[in-house]
Amino acid sequence: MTEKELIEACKRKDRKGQKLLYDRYSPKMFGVCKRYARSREDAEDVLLEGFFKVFKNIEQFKGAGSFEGWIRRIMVNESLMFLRKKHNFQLTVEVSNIEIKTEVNAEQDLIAEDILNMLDKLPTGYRTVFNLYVLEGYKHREIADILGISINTSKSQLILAKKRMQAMLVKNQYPGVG
Amino acid sequence: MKNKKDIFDLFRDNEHKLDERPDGKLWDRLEGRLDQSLEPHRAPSRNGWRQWMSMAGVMLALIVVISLINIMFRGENGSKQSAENVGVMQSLEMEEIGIFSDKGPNYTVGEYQKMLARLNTSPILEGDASKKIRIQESVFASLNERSKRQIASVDKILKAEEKVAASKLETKKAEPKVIASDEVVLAEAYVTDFESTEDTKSEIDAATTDFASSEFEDEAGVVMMDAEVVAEADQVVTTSTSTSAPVTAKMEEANFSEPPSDLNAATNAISVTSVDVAGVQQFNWLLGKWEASSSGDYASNESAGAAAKSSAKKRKSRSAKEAAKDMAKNKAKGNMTASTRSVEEWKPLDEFTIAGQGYLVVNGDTTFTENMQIKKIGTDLYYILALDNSGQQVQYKLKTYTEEGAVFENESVAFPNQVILQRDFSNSNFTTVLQNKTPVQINTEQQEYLMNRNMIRSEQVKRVMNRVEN
Repeated sequence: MTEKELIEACKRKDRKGQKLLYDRYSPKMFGVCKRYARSREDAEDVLLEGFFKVFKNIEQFKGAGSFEGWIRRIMVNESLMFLRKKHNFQLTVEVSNIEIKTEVNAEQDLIAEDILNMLDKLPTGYRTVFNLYVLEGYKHREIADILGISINTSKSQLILAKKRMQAMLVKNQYPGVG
Repeated sequence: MKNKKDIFDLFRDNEHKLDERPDGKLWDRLEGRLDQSLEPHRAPSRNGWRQWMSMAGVMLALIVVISLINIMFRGENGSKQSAENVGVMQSLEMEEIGIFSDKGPNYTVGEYQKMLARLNTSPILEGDASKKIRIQESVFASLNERSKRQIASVDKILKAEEKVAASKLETKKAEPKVIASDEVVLAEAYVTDFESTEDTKSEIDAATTDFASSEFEDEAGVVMMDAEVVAEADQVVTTSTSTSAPVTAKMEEANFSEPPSDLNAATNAISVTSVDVAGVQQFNWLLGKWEASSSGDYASNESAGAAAKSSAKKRKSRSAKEAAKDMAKNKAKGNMTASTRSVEEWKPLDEFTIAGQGYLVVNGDTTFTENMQIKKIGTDLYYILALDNSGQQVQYKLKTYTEEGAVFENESVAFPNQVILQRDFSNSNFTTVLQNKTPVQINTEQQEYLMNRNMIRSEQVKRVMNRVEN
């Protein structure tokens, strides 16, 4: 079934179509949710809520952009809503603008477990800004709007996240960390 | 350096390794949730019309059966009654006369008729029609807060409708004291316009029109009609103060402070566009208590605060003591620690208004308060708020309303000419944005006021509130 056919089936509330769509996108979206939520259970809750909204609001998808991008945005929004209930982003601290040079060997790879471990060890504010900037591709201005913080706070959270990650890579003896 | 890459790229390149199929039970949970959401209002399927037709058929059959039973029952009763009261029934058409019986109470023919009619048709036999049905206290106590609020608001609406009906009667009775001869035609035109509105709208809407016109009344008793009427008449129409007296009283009841006349003029100048407005009830999602901790705001407000403070310093008339006080106040405003709370509470005031109060609590002391309203005036909804320390309130007319929020506009205000309310799906937070359609710099006085509870950007003022209580 093509993506277009899947979307049409979901618009008709066809359960088989919904299951197929879920099977196709849930692994990737679960990865997204895991990056934001600390526990696997929380990530599953966010994923469920996100897919529920996908099916509920699928009429709003007019086919203008990427469907996967649309679902991903819903998952990110859902993850942020989940975090907002537990964490106040406006309490995050702003620090002076320090340039931190962090480079690794080009052939260096991370294993999934290490990625999750490192993200898990970051404070919520750092982790969220890191996710939005590095992996979702938002600009600091957009992150500031989304989280209700200033642009400088967003920038400093990212710098601190980078610094913390570098320290973790060194500690885990990843070769070529500079 | 070619064999080096940024640490962020390392994560980007390996992100896909987090992809993983979730637990199989998750789909079952999702399916259950989807089923649940479909139950109350299942989406129409392709053969939906068949279901509707069959339901309509069943309903029709039920109505026919009930009607037949009713006719049969009436027939039996009717024959008995007609045998007993044939003489009386004949005289009913002539006039209402007393019926005297040795056994029971005396009835007039009219009362007897009503009694018979009630016995035959009224499904509620154990209560007089004039008695009001009220929910039992024990039942009321067991309801959740939302239901209690809904019942209370229905109660308020009913009471307000009674008041509106009473005040309308009074308004109709009152005659204008003085109308200049040249203006009689215009006054009549206004009345005709008003009456045609009454014909097409509900009682409440008509009363709201009354209410709206009262808000454009200045101290001298001059009524400024709304923009459309003024455009037609091209002049101000005078009318007597007695006509609007009940309306003014009602305005006081609603605890609405009258905006200054220059503001009214500005508001009247807004072109009227049609927005599908049902009432302030559309904004019931705002009701409740919201809170935002504002320490992050201050970071971005600091530069704005500094500008405001330096402007205060320039005012030479202030004494050193006052300046010191101001500095302390500014510090209290600005230096928001974890003990600083920005709270916003919205409550229904009456059926045309919901009122919001925002306040800032620093170390347990309330250092700042502001009042907002969403109000139905005539057929339009307005967001009303103050924009600086003068306390002067400004009205913004609703232009767009969707499930995700609303846009209010007032083109005559330098900044902001838009007030935007944005809500999230789960109603757990909402954002208020004050901005201009075309970005402008915010002046220092406004910055000083707005920085109390908002994040100040160069061209936008914004606050995000999280739900605390329903």
